[in-house]
Amino acid sequence: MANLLALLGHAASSLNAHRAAVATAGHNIQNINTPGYSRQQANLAPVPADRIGNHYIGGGVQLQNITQIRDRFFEMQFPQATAAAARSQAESRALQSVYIFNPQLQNGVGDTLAKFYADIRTLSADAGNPGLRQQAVSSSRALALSFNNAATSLRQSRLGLDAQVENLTAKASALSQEIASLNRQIRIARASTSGGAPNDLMDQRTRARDELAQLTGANEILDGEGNVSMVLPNGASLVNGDFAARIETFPDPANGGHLGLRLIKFDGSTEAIAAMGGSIGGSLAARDGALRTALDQLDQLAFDFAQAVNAVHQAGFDLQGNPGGPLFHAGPVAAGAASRIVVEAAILANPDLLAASDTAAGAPGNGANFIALGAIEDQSLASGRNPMSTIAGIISDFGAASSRVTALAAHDTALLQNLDSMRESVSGVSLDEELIRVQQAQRAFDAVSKVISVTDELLDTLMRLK
Amino acid sequence: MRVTDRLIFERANFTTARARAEMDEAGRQAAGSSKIEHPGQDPAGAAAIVAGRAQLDRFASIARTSSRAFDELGQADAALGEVGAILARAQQLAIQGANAATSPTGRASSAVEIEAMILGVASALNLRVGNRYIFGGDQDHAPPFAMDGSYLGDTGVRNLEVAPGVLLDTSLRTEEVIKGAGGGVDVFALLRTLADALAADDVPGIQGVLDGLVVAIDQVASGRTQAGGLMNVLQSATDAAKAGEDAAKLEISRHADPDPVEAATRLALAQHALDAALTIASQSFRLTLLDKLR
Repeated sequence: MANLLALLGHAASSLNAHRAAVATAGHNIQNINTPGYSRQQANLAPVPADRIGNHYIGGGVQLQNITQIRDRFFEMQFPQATAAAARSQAESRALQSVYIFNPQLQNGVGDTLAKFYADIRTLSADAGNPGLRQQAVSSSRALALSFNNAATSLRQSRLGLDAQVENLTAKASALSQEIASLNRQIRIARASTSGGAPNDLMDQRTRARDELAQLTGANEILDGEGNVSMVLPNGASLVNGDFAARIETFPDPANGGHLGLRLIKFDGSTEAIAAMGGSIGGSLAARDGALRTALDQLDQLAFDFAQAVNAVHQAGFDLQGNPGGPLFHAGPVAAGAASRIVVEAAILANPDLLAASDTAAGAPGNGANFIALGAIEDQSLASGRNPMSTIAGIISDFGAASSRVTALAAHDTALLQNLDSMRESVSGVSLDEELIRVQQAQRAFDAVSKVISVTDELLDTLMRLK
Repeated sequence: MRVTDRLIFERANFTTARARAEMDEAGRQAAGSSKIEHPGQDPAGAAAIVAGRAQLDRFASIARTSSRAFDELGQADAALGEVGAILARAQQLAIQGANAATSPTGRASSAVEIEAMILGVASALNLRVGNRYIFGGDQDHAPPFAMDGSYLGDTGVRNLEVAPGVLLDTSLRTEEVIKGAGGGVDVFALLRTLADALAADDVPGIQGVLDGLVVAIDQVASGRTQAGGLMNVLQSATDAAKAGEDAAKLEISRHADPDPVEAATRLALAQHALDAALTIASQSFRLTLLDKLR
């Protein structure tokens, strides 16, 4: 009788174990599309056997634990791979979005520079023609405006990246807090069970870790208590156990007021962040790399070009025989020249002030000075190249930077996809597998139910013996 | 390799997205859009397009100004032809006037005709083409000759770029062709002398002009020859500039325009790739145990 009752107890335990297996498979199925979810497995183990006489009779099955299926080899590589791909993708996206260097763009700097020369050349052949003078002034103005537009476009791109960096740093700080909080919750959950792992919390933490790595390039360090700590590429600690530092942006005067980054540490002290990876690092690399270089080169070109044109223009004489003034104003220094460059207001108002002549005699048909002005097309500026070659160089340098980083992004993305596939292959949920497991557990459940039914009949038979 | 459902969907997502992107790009190029819309697609090609467009504008401007100068010289040649004809008529009248058989009345009548010729030469040389009085040198905004033949222009000669970096004087030197600077004769002064001699019935004076008229006719003819030579050079410059324009267009096209056959082939391949990606995706979604268990 007692053994029959024990049999019922064992069967009940077995039913629980198989129910847990069904529940676990169901949990997997329900989370099939949950980002960062790792499939779980109900591990069943036989209940230790009872000794009856000279024999050991098994005690059924029990749920030993529920574990996540993860491959540490892939897991360790994932944050770095996702950070590298996010960085190159962010930089590539930022550079790809710059349209101002489209070589076919109408009224781009190259286009307006060529029109400027053409109109200067045309005017030199008929220097007294008021229509051609007006046209030369218009093309000078169009050239100045195209410099302004190109500089504005590049500056706007850099400002747009500032806004993006600000947004991403806020997200990164929130993720740091989340990881610190999950570290605490996981520790408490572990302590409250005897060896049971809070798998879903761990999944959440892994997802937050991956996202933080994607944003900042931070790397994971596991400590002895199972906490995940995150360290930025420059070695600064972003998450340490239960504590999270915060990334803060500030206008950096050394970088034209563009946003710099600093870490507000756990104790409230601050530390400058010299290196950043992930999307933030990629955005900063685009902002302070190719975009800044292009803007600096454009500024230098506008400055050198204005100087060269003004030197020639001031050596000539206007329609009344007065010495020419500067044609362009680009400011005293190269920095910001492309944004500042304008045509002299007096010339805009009165094209007769164009100093086309090389004589003070007031000869209206003398266009010799504009022949000299047109010759700037072939002359090297301070940079060592002529203006058109400089523009072509700026465009090709920018294109080369964009092409390089786009190729890098494709490479990094392919690596990440491969790693993700490998990780998914281990940790992902297969509907076929889970349905089979459900069927398998259901069969076992049915069979154990049958055992209970038979045991009940045996007990019933015994009861009827009375 | 263990294949999970997410892998199936992610792969389907990736392959169809890639096939669609490829088809979009192939379609764009097949529709005739530029191969390079961003310098990152071909940095060297982008720089070549910019340089090519600059060359195109430069050659177009050279062709335009050369062609205009050619037209001006053509008109100058016609004006000098008129002056030459006037001088030939003046020579006839001078020969008649120098003949003892000619009556004083006949000489007086010829003097009147020569006076009209002076005005005719001034009118012919006060030729305006477009905005310019082309015989005025750099003083091209006003008629260069007063009706009495005095010259109001200057010695300026127009210089034009006829090929990249190559400059050429493209106007006639009025002071040489008409005013006789550098060893020639002053056409107006000569006609004035002739008119005065005819009016005064001064036969020796008329005879003294005859040699000068021969020189003047040669001088004007030489001016026309010079104009013709310059026109030849300018025609060559215009032709060369147009060839340069064509070469620049070709260079731009080589970098910017997709090859139609290649673009069409690429589009067809992209369509097949997309079709295959969609077929594979739909097939892989269909085969699951879930469907069989129902």
